[in-house]
Order: sequence, then C-alpha cells, then structure tokens
Amino acid sequence: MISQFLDVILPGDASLGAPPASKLNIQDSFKQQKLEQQMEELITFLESLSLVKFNMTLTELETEQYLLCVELAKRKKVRLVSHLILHCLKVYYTHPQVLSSLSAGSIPPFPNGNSIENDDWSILEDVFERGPIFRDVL
Amino acid sequence: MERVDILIVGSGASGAAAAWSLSRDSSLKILCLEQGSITDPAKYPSTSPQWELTKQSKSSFDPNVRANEADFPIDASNSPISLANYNGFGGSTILYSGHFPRFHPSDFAVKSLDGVADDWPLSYQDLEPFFTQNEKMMGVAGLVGDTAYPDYESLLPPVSLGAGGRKMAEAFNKLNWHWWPSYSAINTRHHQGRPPCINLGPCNTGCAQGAKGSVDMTYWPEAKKQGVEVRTECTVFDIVLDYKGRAKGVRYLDKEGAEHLQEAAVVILAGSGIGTPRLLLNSKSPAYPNGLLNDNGLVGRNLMLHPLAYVEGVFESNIQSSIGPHGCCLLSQEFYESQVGKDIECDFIRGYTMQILRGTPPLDTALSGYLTRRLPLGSKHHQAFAKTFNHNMGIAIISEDLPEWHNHIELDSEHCDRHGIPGIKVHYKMNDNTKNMLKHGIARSKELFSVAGAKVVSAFSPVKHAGWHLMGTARMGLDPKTSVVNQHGQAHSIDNLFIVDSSVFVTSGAVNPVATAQALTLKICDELRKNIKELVKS
Repeated sequence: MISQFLDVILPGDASLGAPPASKLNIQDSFKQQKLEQQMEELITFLESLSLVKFNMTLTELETEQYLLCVELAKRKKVRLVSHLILHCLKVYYTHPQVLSSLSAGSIPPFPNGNSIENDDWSILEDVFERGPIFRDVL
Repeated sequence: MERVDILIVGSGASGAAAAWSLSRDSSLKILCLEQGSITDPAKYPSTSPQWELTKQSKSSFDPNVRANEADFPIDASNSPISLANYNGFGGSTILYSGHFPRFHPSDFAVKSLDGVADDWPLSYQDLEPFFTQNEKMMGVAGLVGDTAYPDYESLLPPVSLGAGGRKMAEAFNKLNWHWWPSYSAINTRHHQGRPPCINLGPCNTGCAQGAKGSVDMTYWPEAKKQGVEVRTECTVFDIVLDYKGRAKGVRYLDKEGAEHLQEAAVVILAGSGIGTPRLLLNSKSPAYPNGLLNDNGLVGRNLMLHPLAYVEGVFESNIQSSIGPHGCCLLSQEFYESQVGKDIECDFIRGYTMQILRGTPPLDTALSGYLTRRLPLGSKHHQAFAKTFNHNMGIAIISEDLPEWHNHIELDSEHCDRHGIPGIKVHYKMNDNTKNMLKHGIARSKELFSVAGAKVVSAFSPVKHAGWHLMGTARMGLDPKTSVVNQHGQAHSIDNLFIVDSSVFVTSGAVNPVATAQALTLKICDELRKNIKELVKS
C-alpha cells in the first residue's frame, strides 16, 4: 500500500532518468523517523475517501483518482498529509540516485567540483560609460 | 586563572580580527573566550548527499531549531523577522554566504545628507585602509573599478557569473541600471594558503574545501601563531568591575558548568549585535542596575536587521543556475543612494541593494515548488521540476534599516540557555519607509526579470528567516547621552572596556555588514594598540 502511495505521488520518469519513489529507501526512512503510525493513518484515511468518492478500494483506483484522494485528504488533514509528503520529497531529493539524474553537477562528497566558463568583462562597458554613481561626502 | 592583558569575548568575525590585530604586539598576553566549540570542516554537512536536510536541523541558521549546547533561546514572536546566527569558533562566518561589499561613503553621513538617523563619528575615508587590509586577510574576490564605490586597491579575480548571471547582467544593461560582479570572501585562486572555490554551491552549511573566508580559516591561524590563546565552550555571563568602576575581567562557565573569574587589563566585546548587548544587560551591579553601560537605556536598543524581499524568476532554458556559490553572483546598487532629486517615483529615503542569487539546490527547489503549488505531484511532477531546477535565479532586496528606539532586544528570563542564563526576546517592527523600499525593490526586480526573459514565480517581503545582519544595539557616538561607546569603540564610562562588533553601528547601510564590521574592528584595535601600554599599566 505504501509503495502504491509513493509511486502515485512521485512516479518514475524514464525520459528524465528519474526513479520511482518506491524503488528508493523512503519506506525505511518512515521506520527511522518513527512515521510508520502516521503513514498507516494516512493510508487508512485515503482508503475511506476512496470508498466514499469512487466506491472503490485504493488499489483499484486510477492514478488521477488516487491523486484526487490525496488532495482531498490534504484539505481535511493538512498537517498530517503535508508532513508526510514533505518527508517523501526530502528523502527523494537527497538520494544519490536522484541527484545523479538531475544534472545537479558534482554530488557530495564532491570529489571533483564544477567548472563555470570564464566571463568576458567587456559586458561591463555600459556600466563604466555612466560614470560614478556614489554620493561624495565632503 | 592567570590575569591577561587583553580578553576578547567571542571568536567570530570581529573577535578574530581583533585577536590578529592586537597580537601583532607580541608583548601582549591575549585570551579569547568562545561559548561554542570548534567545527571540523571534514564533518561539514556538504560532505554528504543529505547536506540540504541539515539546513533544517543541526545546520539551521535559527538557534532555536539548531539547539546546539552553545545556543541561547531567541524569542522572535514579536518580530516579522527571526534572527539567525551561529555560536561556535568562527561565529556566523561558518554559515554565511561570504558576500562582502563595503558600506558606501554616504552611509556614514545619513543625517547630513538626508536628515535621518545620525552621522557616524567617523568616515569612509577613516576606514578605507582597514577595508583594504581586511579584504587581503579574508581573501575577497571582486573587480576593481566599480562605479558605485571609490576605488578599491586590489581584489582576487571575481567569482564567475555563470549563464544565469550573464542573463541578469544583460538585462541590467538593457535597463541602463548599475550592476557589478559580487564582492565575495571566496578564494578564486590560491590565497593565504587556502585553495580556490570549486563551484559546489552549499556555502551556507560550511565550506569543507576551505575556499570560503570564514575566520577560523583566515584570521585565527595567524592570530594563534602570534600567541593568542582560545578557550572554547566557555560561556561568559558577567563583566566584573573593580572598586574604581573599571573592568576587572569576566565571569564564565566552562563546559562542565564550573564558574571561573578571568581577570584582564582590557576587556573587548565581540559577541555580535545580540550576544554583546545580552552580556551587557546580564551584567548588573549596584552602579549599573539595568545592565552594564545601560545608564542611558541604549543597550539593546536601535536594533537594525536589514529586512529582505525576495523575487524569483524562472528561465525557459537550462542555465545550470544551481552551480556555483549560491549567495555570490552579482549585485546592483542602482537604487542604493537616496533617489531625491532624480527623475523617478520614490516614496522612501535611503535605498537598497539588489543581490542576485543563483538557483536553488534540488531539495529547496522541490519543497518551495510543492508548497507554492508550482510543482504538482504525480506524473507531471518530474517534467515540472525539470523546468524549474537549474532554470531559476533569485533577487534579494537588502533594504537600509534606519535605527528606531522601539526596535530592541531584552533579556528573557523565561527562556534560558543550558546554564540558566537568560535568552533574549526581540521586539521589532518594520517602518513605512522600509515597506515602501521593499515594494519598490520588488517592482524593479519584476521589471528586471521581465527584460531578462524570465517568468516571475515568487515575490514577497519580508523574508522571515533572514535576520542575519544584527546591528546597532550598543551604538557609537561622541555624546555619552546618546551612545554607548565613543568613536574608538571605548565605553564612555569605562575606559578599559571596548566593543568592536556590529553592535556599535550607528546606521545599517544596505549591504551585508561584515566587511564594515571587521574594518571597524581593525581600526579600533589599531588605535588601541597605540595606547595599550598605558591602559595595561593603569
């Protein structure tokens, strides 16, 4: 159930090389951060919304229907839902596999660093032409 | 404890500069007491992929979130801006961006020029040689010839603009507005035994490479070589007076909580714009029942914070904007000086800097995008993220904050540090002048992004977690009735007590204060060194 939730909110995107959230260690992080109970509460709540809204169980929902349930859940239990989604984003966007896929440059522990091309300072010609702009104090 | 000639409280930007300057006289016995511990660059968060997460925990700018042993509570519930600092060896330079512009000549004469606040008891010209000396010690990159300043002597080569910086620079040129590559305490080549920057980005969690000029890397190695002793994890809580009413020394608590008296011929306070007034207010005696040097009620008053506005724009193309030192790209001082007499609509006095920031790192991009509903969840998430990350640039508008009596800090006995010493409560309101300035800055920033071809996705003020620049809480001046220390940083009423940090600022300027704070420290210590024998003897 948690895998399904993760892949609904953060599915993979092969064209961008982004892995699905369920393939990372997010589930382990729920244990580490003692969020298992809150996660269980959210899934149970989503299940109830699914039955009321679509007369289907969560596993039977299409992705867009599931996302609608997440949105409805957020409106009713904003702190719980936001907290868990933010947690998923935090783990996802600090995972080495995700960082590698983002063209984020060198990734910690930063063995190589990044290069930025040199500047041509003739671009400052317009600024020079205006002359000094600071106020003189006599 | 053996008596020393000079005791410095605080090892941050000003404490380090003071230690180096004074220890050039090798006959002086100098001790620095620092309440925090020494950080190890090899353990900085940026050595791990999770570095962004630590900004919300142990590397947070907010001491209430970070809650290190050395931190004291800061209640900012009566302020739209929460305060940021770092208590440790090197002070807030450990976590700062390294943006290093000087104050302008006009900043020292705001009363004479614009009829507001007060003039400083010294001028830009008085500080000029010390600005230069400090820039050499800190390793400041930039470009000489800036039309917004009198001439600089020399700087390290500037930090590269990157594709995003160049787009912004071209937009400034189209609008015929001033811009200049940023002044950055970041090595762009080997300097003073430190390596050059390798353009990683996370300067604000500590620079593991040692390229950023934090004072543990710049002043302190030299000061220690010159014989200065540093004792860390020592919390000074009281300045003790002798029977003549002069400073006798300080009382402090060590790591285990044991109390010590450290005597000194001269006491120098360098605990920051909040640490210094906190210590003074906590140092009560029959002669100073409301806190040391507070007989005129000025200690803790006139707090200035530089309220910020933030505007973010997103470009169509990937400009690799997350690569490079985040806070240091370029700046504009087109609207720095008062606009009186110029042909533009303006409803404020004094002015502001537009500081161009590079793009946000991955997690920041994802969180802010989600919270502002720009990044959806589900199948469209990754495409939307890819159109933002490495495509965005930011503008921080740093407004001049005029001193006001009602903006102040006070001791907060209900919230104490681990030793039971009161924390502080902040009382701060933005005035209409500042609000108008920030509104003007946001409008101009939107105009700039539009000309640059970027879509504005976020614009707001004030930025809540941005109270880095802490100034004015023990101001300097010639009149003991309206100031705490004189133009030499010397307490009006106690001749062997000095304050050398940004507490003594009379006004705030509209740039990051550290370059000016350190230049001022060097000037004060240069004069102090000339008179030190007399003070030590007496």
